[in-house]
Amino acid sequence: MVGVGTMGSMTCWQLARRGVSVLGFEQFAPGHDRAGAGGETRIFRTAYLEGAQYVPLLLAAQREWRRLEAECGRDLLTLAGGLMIGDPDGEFLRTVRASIRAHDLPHEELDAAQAAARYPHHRLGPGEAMILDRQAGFVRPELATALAALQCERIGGRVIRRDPVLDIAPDADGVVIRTATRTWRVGQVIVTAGAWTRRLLGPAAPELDVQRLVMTWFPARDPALFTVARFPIFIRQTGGYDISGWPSMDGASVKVAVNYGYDRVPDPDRLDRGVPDRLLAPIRSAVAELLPGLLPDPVRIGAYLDGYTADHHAAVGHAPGLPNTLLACGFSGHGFKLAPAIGLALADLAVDGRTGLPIDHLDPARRQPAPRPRRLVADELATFRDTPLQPLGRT
Amino acid sequence: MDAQVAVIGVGSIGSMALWRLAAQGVDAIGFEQYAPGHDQAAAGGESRIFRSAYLEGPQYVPLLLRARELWRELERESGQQLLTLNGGLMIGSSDSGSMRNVLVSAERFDLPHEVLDTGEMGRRYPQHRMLPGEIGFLDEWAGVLRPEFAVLAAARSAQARGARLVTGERVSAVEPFEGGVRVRAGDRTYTVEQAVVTAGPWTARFAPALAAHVTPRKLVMTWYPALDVPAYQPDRFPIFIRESGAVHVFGIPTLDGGSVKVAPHTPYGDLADGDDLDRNVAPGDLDAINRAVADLMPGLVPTPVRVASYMDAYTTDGHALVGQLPGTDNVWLLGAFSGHGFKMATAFGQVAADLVTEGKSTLPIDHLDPSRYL
Repeated sequence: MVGVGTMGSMTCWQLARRGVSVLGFEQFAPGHDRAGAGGETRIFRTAYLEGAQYVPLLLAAQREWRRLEAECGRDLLTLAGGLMIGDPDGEFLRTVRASIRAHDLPHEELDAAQAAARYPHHRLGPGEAMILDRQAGFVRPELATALAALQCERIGGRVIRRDPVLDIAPDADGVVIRTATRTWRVGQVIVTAGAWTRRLLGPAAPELDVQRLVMTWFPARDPALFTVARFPIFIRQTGGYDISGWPSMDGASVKVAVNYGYDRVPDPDRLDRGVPDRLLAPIRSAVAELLPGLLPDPVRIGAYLDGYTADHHAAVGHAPGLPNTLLACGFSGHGFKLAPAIGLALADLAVDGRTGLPIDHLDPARRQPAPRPRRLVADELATFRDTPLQPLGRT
Repeated sequence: MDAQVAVIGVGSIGSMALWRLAAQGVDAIGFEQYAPGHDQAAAGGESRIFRSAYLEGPQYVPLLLRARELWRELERESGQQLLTLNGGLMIGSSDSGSMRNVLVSAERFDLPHEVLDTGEMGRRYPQHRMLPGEIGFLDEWAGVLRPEFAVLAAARSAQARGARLVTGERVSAVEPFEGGVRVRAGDRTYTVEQAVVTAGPWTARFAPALAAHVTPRKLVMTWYPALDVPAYQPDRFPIFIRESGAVHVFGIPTLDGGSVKVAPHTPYGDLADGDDLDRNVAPGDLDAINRAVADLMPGLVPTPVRVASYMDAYTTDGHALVGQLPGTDNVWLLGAFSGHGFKMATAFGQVAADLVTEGKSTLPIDHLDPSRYL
C-alpha cells in the first residue's frame, strides 16, 4: 500500500483482516492533517446527489464503518440524520430524491413551513425545502484513519511511517518499491496516494486537478442548539451558495464550509495552510445570510486538499498498462464516507481479481471528458468584495 | 472627541480591557483588524491553561486570583462556560527551579494542592509515563479556558454595556497630542482622550522605543488522538505542564471527544513582525514534540491530527509590558505577554481600566513596567 491516508488505511485494514501480508508506506504517519483527511468531521450520507449508482457502495460503507468501530472499540460514524436544503424542484434535490426512490431510503420531505419549524437554525429563502436523509451523519476522519492503520498493525499488517516512496517499478513477477531508506519487493502494489498518485504512477493514473479545501468553524450564539442531537449535518445549495455544515464537536464552534475548492494547489508538497482573510468573504457572507444562530467570523480555519478528476468520479481499479498495480485516487471532494467500502473493493481486487461491489463507473481506464472550468472561491471574490464584517451584537 | 478611550486590538487583552472599561462606565471604542475571536494571532486553538500555583514566580498569584474572580464574572454576564477548573498537574524533577516556584506559590498563598510522588502519579494518572525522580504537583485551582469564546464574550459584554467596536479596519497610527490621542484606522481618524494599546504580536509597531526588547514568535499547537478517549476527558485528565530534562510541554484534556492537545511550551521561532506568520509547519519541525508524546504519553498516537500556528510577542525577560507607553502620558501599553498571558487576561483588562481611570492599579504590576527597558 503506497499512501496510508483515507483510502490506504482502510485498504490496509481490509487486507490484514483477510490474512494478506500487507506493508503500508506513509510519507507522514496515518492520521496526519496534510492532505485530504483532516478537519475533525466528514459527511456521511446515503441519498446521494452524485448519483444513485453510489448507493450500494454507501450501504456497504456503512456496514464496514460499523465493523471498524466494533474492531477498534471506538465510535467513528454517527448517524444523526442529514438535511439536504434547496429549491424543491431544483436539480440538487431532484437528484437526491432519485437516489432515495431508486433504493427506497429512509427519509422525510419537509416543506418550507415544516423545515422552518423543525430546523430554525437555517434561514430559508422563499419556497426552499429540506429532505432529511435518515442514514446520514458524520465520520471522524483523522481518528478513523489512525485507528484503521493501528488495527491493521494489531492483526498482523505492517505500516512504515515517515518514509516516502520515491519510485514504483512493476514487472511480471511483482513490484519493486523504492523508499527514501531502502528497496522492497512485493507481489502487488495498491497506490492510494491522493494528490501524489500521478507523480508515482505517471499517465496510468488520471490527471488530477488538485484543489485547496478550506474548512471554517464559527461560534454559536447558543451552543445548545448546535449539538449532535439538534443540528444534523447539512448540504445547502441556495442562491449561489453551496455549503455544508456539521454539529459542534467542541461544544462551542460549528463547522460550516464551502463545498468547492478555494484555489489550485500546483504542488501537493506545498499546500499553503495560510488562508488570507479576503478569501473568507464568500463563507462569511453565506453564514451571515443563511445561519443566523452563528457569528459570521470564523474562530478556526483549516486548509486541506483533494484531487478532482474531470468527471468528478474517482479512479478505482487496475492501473491501465501496469502489471500487478491497483490504484484509487481522484475522489473529487466526496470520498471519505466511502473509504472502508473502497478498501474492501481494493482488497477484493488484490486477492480475488474481482469485486462484487459496484465500482464499474470508477474504472481508471474509462474515458474522461475534457476538463471544464471549475468553480473556485478565489475566482468569485469580486462578487463578495463589498461584504462588510458583521456587527457582533446582531441576532 | 469620538470616545473617552480607544482600545487598539480587541484580542486576548483588548477584549477584556474594553469589557472592564465599559463595566466602569467609561465610553470606549475598540479597534480590531479582523473580528473578535479570530484565530490569526495569539488567542486561538481551542484552549488555554489556567493555573494558580505559578511556576513563573509567586508575584503573579494576586493577579491570578483576581483573574479567576473576573472569569467567573464574565461567565455570569455571558451565560457561557469559559473556565473549567479540572485541576492542573505540574510534572518535573522534585529539585527543579520551576517545581520550587510552584511549591512556594502554593505555600505562600495557601493554595489548595497535593504533591504526588512517582508511584502515586502512576496510580492516579497513568496517562503520564513518569521518569525516575519526577513528582507531580496537583494545583486544584487550575484548568482550561476557551480563548476564542472568552474574547467574544468579553467583546459582546462590552458592547452590551455601550462600548463601540470598529472591525475589519487596521489601526495604522496612534498619535498622542496635548490633551488627547489621534487614532488612524482605515481612512478615518478618531480622536480620544486616552488610548490603550493591546496589539499582541504587533506590539512593537506601537512602541518603537521598546522594539529591541520585544519579539513576535511563532507558536505551534498540536493535537494527538487518544486510544481511550474517556481517560482524557476533563474529569480524569487535568491540564498539565511538564519539564522532563530538555522536554517542556503542556497538555489539555480532549474537548472534541477524540484528540488531546499536547504542545511545546517554547516557541518555534522568531518573526520580524506580526504580519510575517507563516502557518505552514514542516513535518520535521514536529519531530521533537512527536517524540515527547511517544516517550511520555503512552495513551496517545504520536502523530498529530491537527497542527495550527499562532504567535505571541515575547520580551527579553519573559515578563509582559504593562504601564504607561514611554514618552506619553495618555497612552497605556499592555502587551508582550510572552506566552503566558491568557489566563490573566481578565485581570489585565481590569488593570487597563484602573490605569485609564486612576493612573495606577492596586494589582501588583510593578515588575511589568515598560520603563524597566529604558
